[in-house]
Amino acid sequence: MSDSLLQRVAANDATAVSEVLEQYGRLVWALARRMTGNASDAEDAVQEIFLDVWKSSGRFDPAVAGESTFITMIARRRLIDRRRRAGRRPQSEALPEQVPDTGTHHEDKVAVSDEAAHAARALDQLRPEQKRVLELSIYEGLTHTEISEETGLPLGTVKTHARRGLIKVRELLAAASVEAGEGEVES
Amino acid sequence: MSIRSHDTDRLPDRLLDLLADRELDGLAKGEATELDGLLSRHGEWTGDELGLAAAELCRLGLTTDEPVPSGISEKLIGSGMAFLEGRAEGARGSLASSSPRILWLGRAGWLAAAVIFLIAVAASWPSREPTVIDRRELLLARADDVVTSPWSVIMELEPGSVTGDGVWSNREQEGYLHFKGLPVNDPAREQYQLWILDDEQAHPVDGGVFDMPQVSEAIIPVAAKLRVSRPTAFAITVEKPGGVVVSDRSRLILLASF
Repeated sequence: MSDSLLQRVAANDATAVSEVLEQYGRLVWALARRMTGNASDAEDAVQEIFLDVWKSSGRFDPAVAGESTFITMIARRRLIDRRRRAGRRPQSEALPEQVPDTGTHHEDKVAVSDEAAHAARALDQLRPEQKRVLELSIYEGLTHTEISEETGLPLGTVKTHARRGLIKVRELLAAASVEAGEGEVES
Repeated sequence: MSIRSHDTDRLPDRLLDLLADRELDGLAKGEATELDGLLSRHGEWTGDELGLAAAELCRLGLTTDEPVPSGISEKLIGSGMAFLEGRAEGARGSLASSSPRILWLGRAGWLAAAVIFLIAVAASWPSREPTVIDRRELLLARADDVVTSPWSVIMELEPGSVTGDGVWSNREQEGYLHFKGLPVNDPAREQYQLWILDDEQAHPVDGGVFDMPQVSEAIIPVAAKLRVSRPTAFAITVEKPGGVVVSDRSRLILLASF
């Protein structure tokens, strides 16, 4: 099997840099635009993110996650760190009325795939309060403190819902990937 | 995607709290250190498990219609290539700091570097010799102790009007200031001065005087006058031409806290 783009980056294959940017540049740009206040901040953020992608390329394991998921994770961490350092709330896109499904009218979205379908189903299977907290965090870009203010829930409760919700999503995604015959389970 | 399903029930609550916080709310430095320590005792966890789950959710409904602006793409390719080059050089145990261009920069001084290595030059990458932009990327690539922090406006300037960051490696005693939107100064009237706040120094370390050239964006190498031990922040003040030995901080305009 040929190496993935990130594995090629990890092997210092310079030609893979532009290929990664071509394939995932829009994804990272969209994340940065969603989670930063303006294009200038987004530009700085994207540069930080890709630097981290190059640095982290050696950690990428195609048996564990897809490249776009791995890069999204790195991008989110960078963006959240920037938000924390700046001490301000990013402007975010409006939360969709409903969690998007993966039907054909979403063909212009990222990851119109089984993975997206699994993720959407996982979110829908959460308890309502867990789902609400994760939606406010991930799609609205609210901090835990802001979620507490928005919902009236104590901060500790928000953190508990966030943690349990995310763990549940992970478990559901793991189960889905096993059902699809994609991977293994270790426990 | 294949997610290995380790049993979270066997993990301490504190570890799970920190893992979830990192992916949703961010961690303070102390918490990040604590997380690293806990993960080292639970080797079956990579620490990415919840991050990948959050990433899967995050991608739902994300539109990617907008391409990366072309100027940014060029910079990204340039910095990516510089990173790989730096990593390869690091692996060979040969750092770029021995190149003639860098030695020349040391003699030419700080202001010249600021003027020469404007962001616009980035578009000319690839070049045979490292620009200050390349050097910044090389530092980020080779030094594992690098800290970065964005600028926060303290006074005089419009909040958010200046972006960019300060970068510092204590081990290398090397750092860079990246500014976008910093107003052009009149050197005959006033100049910018960098101060490095150091926990082990009674007074801020003078990081040198510099001017902002007639461009929207510039990267300026740090020129610390003393060895820095435990840096906590970069502070930018506006001072009389030539700078001052001790600032009264009456015009402390920008801060980047590490």
